[in-house]
Amino acid sequence: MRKKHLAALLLAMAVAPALAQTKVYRGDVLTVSGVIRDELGNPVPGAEVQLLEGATVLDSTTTGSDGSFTLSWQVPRDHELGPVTLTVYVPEQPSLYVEASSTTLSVEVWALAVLTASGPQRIHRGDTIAITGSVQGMDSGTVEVRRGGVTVATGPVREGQFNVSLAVPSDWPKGPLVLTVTTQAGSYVDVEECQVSAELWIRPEIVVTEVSGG
Amino acid sequence: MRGEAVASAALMLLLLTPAVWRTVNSSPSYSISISVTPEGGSVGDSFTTSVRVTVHGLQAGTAYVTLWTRDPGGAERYYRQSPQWTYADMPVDYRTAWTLTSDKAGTWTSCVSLVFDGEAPDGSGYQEITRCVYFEASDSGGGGGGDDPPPGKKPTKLTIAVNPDRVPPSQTFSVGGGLFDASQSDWWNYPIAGATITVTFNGQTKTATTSSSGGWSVVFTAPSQEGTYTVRASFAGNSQYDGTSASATVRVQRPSKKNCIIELIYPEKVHVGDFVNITVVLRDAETHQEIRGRPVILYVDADSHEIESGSTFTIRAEYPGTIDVGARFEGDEQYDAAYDPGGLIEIWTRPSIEITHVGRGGE
Repeated sequence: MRKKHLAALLLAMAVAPALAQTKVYRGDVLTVSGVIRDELGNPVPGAEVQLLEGATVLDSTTTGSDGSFTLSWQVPRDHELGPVTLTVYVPEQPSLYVEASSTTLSVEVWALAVLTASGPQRIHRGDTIAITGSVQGMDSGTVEVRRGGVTVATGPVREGQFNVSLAVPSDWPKGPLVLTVTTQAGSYVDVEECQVSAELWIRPEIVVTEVSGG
Repeated sequence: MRGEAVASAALMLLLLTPAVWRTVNSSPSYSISISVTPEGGSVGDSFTTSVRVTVHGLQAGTAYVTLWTRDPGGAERYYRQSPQWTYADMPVDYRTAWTLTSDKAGTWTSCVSLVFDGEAPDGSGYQEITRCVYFEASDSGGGGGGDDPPPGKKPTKLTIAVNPDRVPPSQTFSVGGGLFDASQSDWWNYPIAGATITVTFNGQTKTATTSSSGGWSVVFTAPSQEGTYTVRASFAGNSQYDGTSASATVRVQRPSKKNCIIELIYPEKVHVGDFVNITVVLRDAETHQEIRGRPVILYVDADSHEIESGSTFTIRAEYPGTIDVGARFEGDEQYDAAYDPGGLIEIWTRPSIEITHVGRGGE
């Protein structure tokens, strides 16, 4: 018995850190699978299992003939970001002679900011252009426009919208260029940045150096 | 009872002569003779009816005789019934006589009727054979015959009692009673002394002679087989008294045993994996003293286990649910059987929850 307990403890220690890393985005469906067993390790079929966040029942199901269960939870889009402790709970079931039992698991709720942006196709050195777009999954924050890893412009996000002005520097080479639009990653926020393609054209300056008569 | 009776009758006959042995498988036989003396006379004359009935080879059922006399008007003036005879009384030679004074002119009829009930000579289960004689009383009275007629036989009363009436197998018991003159009084017993009483019990026959107070008694040994048996006493009658018989029952049974209580001691709730101890305790119902070491049967669900009282039986709780337990003591020479319907042991699980996977979406 003691050996068995020790083995279970080691197993729990091995599994727990891995589970603690579980990351879910708002809107995702989280699934939790497992097996309910009695003291002798035999599966307990037909038992009710619940997934709780605090006292709120997120999902409930009944174990199969092999004691297995799968619970799922769609993370609300407005769910608080950060670590959440969920409880897998087996309520007392007198008809099955099952006492209450529970275990907890930690997940992190993350937001995923998905940016879409557009700007003018053709730009010129010295132009001040506007990069506009929206951020899905984020109402406010700061948008950055980068070129080659260098931030060239920033602007605020308001109600998921942004409009960033960028003065095209005079040292940018002509030809195709890619601007990356991203946002400042806060805590528990992942960003799916987007790119805006443009072409830098030269509007040649014709300098007349000499006008001579024939 | 009846098969047993036939078997023991057959055994008795087997020890007798071959000639008698042949009667075993035949029907009973009988003879009846009845006569009246005189066959006629004047009104006021007495006449005596004499009867002799023999019965042989009755193996089952009973036989008996009824006797009666009717006056010319058809009124019954005498009636008597013999004892009922069984195989144990075989062979029967029954003789009796009675005397009446004719106080009416006409034909007086005296009859004897032999009744077989259960096994009859004609092969049926019931047969009644009647024979009658007649006395003609004429009115031409010469006024003579002033003498009182000699009295007929007097009726008798036989009492019987068994002591004790419940006897352990193979133990002795006594049968006794009294023989009295029934013609004297309804409320006072006038004893008949020196009469022979024949007593039969379970194939045994004993005789006793009545004392000066009419009492008689014999001792029998009860059979080893339990049951209710009949003891029959009969007085065959003599020149003065009519025959009569009486019977009583004796119950042969083992002495009553002490009561005991069987108790099951078990936990009402255990968990899967626990070892469950079930103890069966037997106690004297009166003293509550524990009785150890008797074989008791412990029922665990559909299984039964024989263990000793006072000992503990251990099982492992393997699955959530219930175990139905009960116990029985079959009884022994000292104690009666006892039963405890027991009850249920609940086996609960405090389950472990093993999380095998946590993931997003359909991962």
